[in-house]
Amino acid sequence: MVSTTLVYGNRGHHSRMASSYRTLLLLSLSLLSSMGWAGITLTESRIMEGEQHYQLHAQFSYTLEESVVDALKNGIPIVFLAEYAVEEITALWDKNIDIHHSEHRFVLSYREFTNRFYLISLNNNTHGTYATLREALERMEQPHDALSVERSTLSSIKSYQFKLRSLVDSSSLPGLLRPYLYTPYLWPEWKLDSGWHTLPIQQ
Amino acid sequence: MIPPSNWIGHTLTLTITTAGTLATLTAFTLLAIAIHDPDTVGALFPFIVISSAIGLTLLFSTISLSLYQLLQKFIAGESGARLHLRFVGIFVSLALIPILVISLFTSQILQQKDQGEDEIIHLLDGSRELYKTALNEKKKRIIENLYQLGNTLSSAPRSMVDLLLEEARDESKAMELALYDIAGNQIGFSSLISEPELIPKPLDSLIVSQIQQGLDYHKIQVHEELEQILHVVIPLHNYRSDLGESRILASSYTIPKQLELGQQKINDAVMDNKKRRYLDDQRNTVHNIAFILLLLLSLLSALWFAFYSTRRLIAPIHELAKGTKSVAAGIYNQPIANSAKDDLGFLVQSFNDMMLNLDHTHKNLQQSQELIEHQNTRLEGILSHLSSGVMVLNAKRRLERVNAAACNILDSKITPAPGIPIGVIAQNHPLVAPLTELLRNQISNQQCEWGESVTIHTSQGVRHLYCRGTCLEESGNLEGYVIVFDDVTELVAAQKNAAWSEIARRLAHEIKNPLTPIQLSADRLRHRYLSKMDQEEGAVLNRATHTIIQQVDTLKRMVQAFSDFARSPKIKFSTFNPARLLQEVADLYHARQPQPIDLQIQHPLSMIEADSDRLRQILHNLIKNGLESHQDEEAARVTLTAWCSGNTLQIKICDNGSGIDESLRSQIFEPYATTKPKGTGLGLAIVKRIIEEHNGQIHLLDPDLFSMEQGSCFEITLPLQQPVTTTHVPNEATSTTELA
Repeated sequence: MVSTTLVYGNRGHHSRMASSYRTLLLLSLSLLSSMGWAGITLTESRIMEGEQHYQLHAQFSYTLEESVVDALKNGIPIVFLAEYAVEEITALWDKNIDIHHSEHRFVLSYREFTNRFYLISLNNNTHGTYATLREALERMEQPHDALSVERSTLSSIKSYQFKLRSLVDSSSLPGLLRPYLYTPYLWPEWKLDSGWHTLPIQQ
Repeated sequence: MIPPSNWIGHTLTLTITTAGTLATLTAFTLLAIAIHDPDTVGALFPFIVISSAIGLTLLFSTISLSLYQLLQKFIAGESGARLHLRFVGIFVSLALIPILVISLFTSQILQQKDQGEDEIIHLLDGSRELYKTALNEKKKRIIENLYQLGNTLSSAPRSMVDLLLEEARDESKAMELALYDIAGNQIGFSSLISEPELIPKPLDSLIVSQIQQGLDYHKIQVHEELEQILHVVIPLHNYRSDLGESRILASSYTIPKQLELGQQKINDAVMDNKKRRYLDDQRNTVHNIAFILLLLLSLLSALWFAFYSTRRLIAPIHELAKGTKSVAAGIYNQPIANSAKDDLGFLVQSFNDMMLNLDHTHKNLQQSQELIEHQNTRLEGILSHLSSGVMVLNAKRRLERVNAAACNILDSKITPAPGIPIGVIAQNHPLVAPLTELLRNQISNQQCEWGESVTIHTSQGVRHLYCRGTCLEESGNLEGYVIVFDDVTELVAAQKNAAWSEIARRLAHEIKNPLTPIQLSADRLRHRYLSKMDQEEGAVLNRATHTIIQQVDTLKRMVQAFSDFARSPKIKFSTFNPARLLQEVADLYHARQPQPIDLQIQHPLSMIEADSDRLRQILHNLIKNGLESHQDEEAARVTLTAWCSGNTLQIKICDNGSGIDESLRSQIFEPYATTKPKGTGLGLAIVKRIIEEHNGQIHLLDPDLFSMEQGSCFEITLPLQQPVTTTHVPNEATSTTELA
């Protein structure tokens, strides 16, 4: 079983630097920290090894800030997209090759009349209503088996890795709201992207 | 011509500003596209942010730099800076006023809301109320039906409960009915959608608590399969029961499809309305950003344009000011760069033409001044090398120019200070007074050109000057006077010498010839008649003839002297030791006691090229004169001092005699000037002539300049080498022996 530890930023050795560079470094760090706003984070990921296959087990955590909730309560459905893939690791200068790829979409919306949140899983077309946003998000946060790959499909002489991320599908948002996702450095609360995380497959 | 550094600076600034404007315009264009098609906002927004940030930063930097430079120039007091600042202020004000007015109106327009929007909201609220009313009515009927059922179920035995519930559910069209005791424990259950559970679940304690208080409980719950269910719970009081047991009836009804659809539509409409309002807000935000961007672009562009246009406007004025300063500093060859074709360009061109003319005039003036200075220098040179004295006076008789020869002749150090009246100079320098008097007389006689001889008494004796005066006139106006005077003392002396020589020659010629017959005749008379006369008459004859013979001898000597003076024997130069000659001359007087000659030779004397016989003659003459000048022959002393000074031999002969009268000192070297009763007065004249023939000089020194208490002192200066034109006769007596 492999698990990842997520580290954002390094506040290490800048104490040795000259005072003039210290200010610049602090500014850079503050910018990095703003860019690293954790709206969606990968809280757990591991690879379960079966006899015939490798199973990726993942769990994301979702935190929606007030401005996002405001959009949600104003009738803007938000589509969360979780992407999982198995790729062959190639040389540094070459792009990795996708072996398997899968997606999981959740549509979160709000109904004013009943004051409830609706969550639809587009993959299995299931849906649920939730009195609170937290309940709906907890439904998405449930640990799940994300992707399975047969051992036989993997070559023993090559290296493979799982990669996964979860983000808000910007294409599903109205055009006027997309700038929030395209320029997250200006609106950190709209940084709803966990970024890619990788887990190498130990054969 | 613009300096290269300025040209580079201007080009760089223009490039940066153009880039900034283009970037900002790009941002604005992208924003306009995004507003027109909101779906593109997301994709375009990063470019809008980056290009607007770059553009505004560049524009702001350029303007800040321009403002900083302008303030620096203003503080430094540079010409044109104040005007530049004022023009910038005016332009900015002119640009800001319309921008602010437009901004005010635009912001008002953007803040306006659609009036119909509130009506839609009211309609939606009304629809929602209507739906709630309909639902409440439905709820009310259900509750009434439940209470009717409750009358039957409240007292029904437990064994009959399930059956009764089944019948009641069918009758009431409920989805589910459940009967609980007052503690919430299930007594019976009937449902369309689920089977009874083995272990019945008790009723929710909160609901039980509410029921125990005698209140109904009703709630619409959304089923997981998106059906809405009305959940109603009522208390049932069994008044007829012995035990007085109260029960709780819980029921679930599906909401009618019509109501649910209506609710769905209302919800959709409400959410759509909210979504539209929310997106309108977002659109307004984008519009506001676009408006702010446009405002900033307009403002910064206006500012930059104000700086740019003002700089272009002020540049010729600034250059003109610089040019004026250059002209004031005397720099005429720096034309102002002129690229404008407008009125200012015409002004600059005119200024350049004026500078060109000034430069030309200045160069001509400079050349004229240089020519004048050159001529002045030449004139000064000529005047300084003139042997004649020159004095230039202006029309007010103030001295303007005086040359060195004039100072030498007048034996006065006249400072050529322009503007000093000649009268003042005459007071300070008495030797100038005769000239001044002469000038005054001629002016009063209205003589414009005149010539007069003047005699002045200088430290070197009486000097004879010949003065000529001329009026300087220009266009008929009197501009000044020029006085030219020459020292003709030597010329007069030479003329006198020549005249005296002629007289001497004639006298010698006319007198010398009859003297011998007179002397022979007198001697013959004495010899012929002396023996024939008696003693007394013989004595008279003897005395008379003796007197005649003596006087004839005297006349012969005089005639010989005249002859010597008139005759100018040719000098025969040879090189010899002057010390030996001096010693030989002094030795001639050793026979006399006491020794009358005191010979002092200072340092070894160099060989001299001269006529030794003539030098011996003049030394004898001077020593003899010195010895004879003392009344007591035995007390007479002559000091003979000789030394070499440079290329000259200096001999000083001083005596302790009676000296020379002051009145005679200036004429002592003239013929027939003598202090001796029987002297011919030709000795010193001959001495002077011989010395001058040796290219030397002789001076009678002032008594103050020599140590002897009385007597006279002559100083002879002879060159050691004669000019090559003189005749040199080898002398066997030449010796290199020198006396210590």
